[in-house]
Amino acid sequence: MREEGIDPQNRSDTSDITRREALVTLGVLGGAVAAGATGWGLLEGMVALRQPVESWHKSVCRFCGTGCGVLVGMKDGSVVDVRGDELAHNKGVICVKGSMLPQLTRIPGRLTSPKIRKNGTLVDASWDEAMALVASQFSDAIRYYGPDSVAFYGSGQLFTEESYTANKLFKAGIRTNNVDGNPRLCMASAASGYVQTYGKDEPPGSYEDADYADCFFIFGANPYECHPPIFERIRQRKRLHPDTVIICVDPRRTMTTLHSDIHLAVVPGTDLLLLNAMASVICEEGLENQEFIQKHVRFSDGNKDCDITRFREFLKAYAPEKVERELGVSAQDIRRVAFLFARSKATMSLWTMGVNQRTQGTFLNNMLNGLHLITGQFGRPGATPFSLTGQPNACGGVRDTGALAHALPNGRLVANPGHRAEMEKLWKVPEGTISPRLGLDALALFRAMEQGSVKVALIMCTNPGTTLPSASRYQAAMEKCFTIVVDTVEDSETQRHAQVVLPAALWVEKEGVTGQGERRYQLTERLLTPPAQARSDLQILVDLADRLGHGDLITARSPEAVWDEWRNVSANSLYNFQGITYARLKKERGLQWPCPNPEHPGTTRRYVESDDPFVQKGAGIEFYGNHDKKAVVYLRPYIPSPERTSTDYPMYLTTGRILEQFHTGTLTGRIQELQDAAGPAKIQINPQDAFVLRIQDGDPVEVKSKYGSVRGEAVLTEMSRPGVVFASFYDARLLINFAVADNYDPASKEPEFKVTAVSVRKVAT
Amino acid sequence: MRLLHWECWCAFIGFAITLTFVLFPGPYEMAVFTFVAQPLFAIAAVSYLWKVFLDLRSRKLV
Amino acid sequence: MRIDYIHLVYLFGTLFCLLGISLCIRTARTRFGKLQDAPPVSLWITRLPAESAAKLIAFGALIVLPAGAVFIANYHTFEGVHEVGGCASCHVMRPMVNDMQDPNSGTLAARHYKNKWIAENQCYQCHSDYGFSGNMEAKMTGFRHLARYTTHTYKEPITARVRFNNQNCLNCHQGTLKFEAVQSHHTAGSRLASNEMICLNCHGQAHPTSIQRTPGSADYSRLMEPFR
Repeated sequence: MREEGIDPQNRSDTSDITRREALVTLGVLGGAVAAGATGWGLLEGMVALRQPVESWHKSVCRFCGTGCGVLVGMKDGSVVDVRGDELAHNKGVICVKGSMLPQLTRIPGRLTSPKIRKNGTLVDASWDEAMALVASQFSDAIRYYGPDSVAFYGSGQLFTEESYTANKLFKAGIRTNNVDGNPRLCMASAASGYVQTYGKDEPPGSYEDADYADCFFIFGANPYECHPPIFERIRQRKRLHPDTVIICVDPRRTMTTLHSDIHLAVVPGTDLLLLNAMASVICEEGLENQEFIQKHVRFSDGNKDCDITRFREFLKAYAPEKVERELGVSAQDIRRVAFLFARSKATMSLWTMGVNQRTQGTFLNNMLNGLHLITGQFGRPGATPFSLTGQPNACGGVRDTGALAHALPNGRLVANPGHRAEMEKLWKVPEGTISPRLGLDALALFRAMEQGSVKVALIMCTNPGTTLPSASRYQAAMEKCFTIVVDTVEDSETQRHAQVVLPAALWVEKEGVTGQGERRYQLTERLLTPPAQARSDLQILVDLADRLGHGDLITARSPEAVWDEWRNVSANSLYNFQGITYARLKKERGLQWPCPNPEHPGTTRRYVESDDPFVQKGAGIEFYGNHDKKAVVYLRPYIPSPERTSTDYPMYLTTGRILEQFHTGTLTGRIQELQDAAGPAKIQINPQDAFVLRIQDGDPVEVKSKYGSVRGEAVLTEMSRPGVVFASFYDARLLINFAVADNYDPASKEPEFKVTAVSVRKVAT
Repeated sequence: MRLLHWECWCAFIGFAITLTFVLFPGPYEMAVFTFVAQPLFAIAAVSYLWKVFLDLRSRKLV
Repeated sequence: MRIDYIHLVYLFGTLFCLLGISLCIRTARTRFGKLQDAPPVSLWITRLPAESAAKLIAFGALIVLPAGAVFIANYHTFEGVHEVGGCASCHVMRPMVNDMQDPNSGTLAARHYKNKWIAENQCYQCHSDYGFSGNMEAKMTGFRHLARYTTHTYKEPITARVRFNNQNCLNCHQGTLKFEAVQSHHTAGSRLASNEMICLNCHGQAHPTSIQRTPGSADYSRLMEPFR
């Protein structure tokens, strides 16, 4: 093509036109950039408008003892999203219950008004009326029958500030040691086990140890369902290091055992035989760590100290071949597991209720710690005896504050006059204020209600009507006592027997600190207003204190003020967390105590030098909780459970939790997705047993024991070991605790939920 | 006169940017294409169409 | 040699652009007023009056060829984001890519890569909304990211503001035995489908944490190594 349309003779006017056109071009270029910027602006606007969440707040999950850090997404004043917090210890992993926390803030059936029972029915009342009645009942009982006629039954789900205040009010104000709570039903054996061994309570290790262990010894626990983020961490470890061994000891074939390498299906109630047999193998084969034992271990038979020779002698009776029959696990497996435990580079034990809720709970705890101590599996990353906690604040709120019948704050004991004097000074009350009489632990308390010696009881944030073993007995006991129940939702089994019911705030409707399983204290900040007339449990306790004339004792009245008082009190003990200020809690994803000053980063591994601030320089590992700085390994004889199978009661009943429901289901049972996933509670029976009993899947059956009976639907599953039936306790329609025996550990007073002799039969519909 | 002068230079710049992006893809080239070249082409095209419309109207064809 | 999309892009993109450039120069210099005097133009097989030819060329230069070039370039964008190299060209994405290819990492991206569950175009397999399929939300977000990155109006560590589309997980996992065996996948299914609940809550991090991606952290320099 030739160039056309271009007239060279018109060049005289081209320069003006060219400059103008160039300017126009540049102008348009600028316009295009502006258009692009506008487009970008529109994108920003659209993305901003479509944000489902306005603001994110760090918080803590309301449910189990893993105590996951979560991020709560708020929009228009309500919770719209909850995510795992990737910066918290759980690294962004939570479970389905935590994922449903937004729905928790909207559950139906919230208590909105105080209620008083009049003519057999609970009717609405004002706060003044209800609290006046409560206070007068307390004062009258105290005046006519003495301070020990009243009691407080609290919970591992209350905030630390609340348990601390209740403990102080009752022990230093009302002057009764009748302060106990549902941790008695779950962690008491672990606490007594740790204290007997190390002189101090609480696990020495951290969840982080799961990132380093080569052998996991999961004993009487089902973390796949009950501590999912921790089990996910264990699985991560195994994914990256396939040689990691996971051993699981459980009568049932749970989801955890299905993901374990070795499953030892022990006969319920016999597992101390396994631990002693393992110890016997370790001593016999020379698998013990002599150096560690010499430096750090002392032996005891429970009454007096002894030496390792007596220990070996004692263990001879527990040789694998001698125990395998009763235990239900072959000698070969016992030897294998003992070898793996001792010889792995780092072994981490994890246990919960299978160990704690036993008449031998304390002994089992002693021996689990003992195995770690004789093999030196301690104090290194991945080597630790870790007792998992069931509730979000049993550790921080109840064990550490000493809100238990035998205890005082920071590991002190009621029975010790020196400890009482210390607390009287710290609480600024006259000498002799704190009663020297041990208070009533959970079962003893409800038995005292039965007998009539406890007239008034305040029950907060727990549901003993469903959770106590031999439930019908203690439900009846509550009728005899003037029971005041503080709860968030209506109509729990406990409220059926209450005289006064008070509405409480739930989760982020109040503020406070919780201490989860790895000694980590975390803050839950208040984000919502409680519905209608509900109040925080702290407010209710402060109100009661005022009405009982103890207003000048309870000087700290806000969560922050109570926390400040409590952390300063802790500075006078080895549970020192004075450095965990409210400001740090607001900023950090929790801190692990001991933490004696605000610069201290917290303690990952206790009793280990440079990590734990109380270990002297050069000591390496030091068990400073005991006078000789050594940990104690006990010679603990196997004593079978009082519940033995017989011709009348030929099977064992055991109970536990499932993934989608938490405890008695008062909260999770009101969340549709979780309720649908769990379905109604059923009685799990092994198909072999079902065949013999002529029970088919779906049949109505009755589980009967000496203590009571329960009827429900049977489900046939291999998850139950032959001879063992199982039911979870989240469904009030299948209140399995009616049938559960109320035997208990003599040292910890924790009931034995895990072993009851029962009979199972099909019933007509 | 040179009716479509600036439109063509704008389109020229647009093509230059586009060619650079096509041959050397990267975030900066992509950004300049998306937020500068595309508006340039759009503005040039709209102006061209407007001029065509005016031309057709002057000839009483629309 | 296999003919790939990129070759087509190179070929047609260059062609359209160069043709467009030459036609633009020509049309820019065309004096439309003087065309009635100009001789006819022969275009390939026909002969056209100069005016008509000029108008046709203008149309080509300002409508047809730009449309073609824009189409090719956008196709280049939406196909280019399939490739890992495309994502890695922004340095803030290097930690995700490096971590994914790290056999010692336990993140979801790394595990999927290590086990060869995502054979190629790994980022795209889970972030398919950036491509032609997927929702508008992701594309808008993508362009917003582009604008922020190139003008350096972002802060490290970068954090996602929009919800991840769970369908990317469900496309592979839904219907498998393991997936169907979990009750909550069914009962909370609608929440997963609507992206109200994120799969990562139970299943862990997909990528390195924001702490690791913060300048100055111990992992930062290792994670920021250029992509090869």
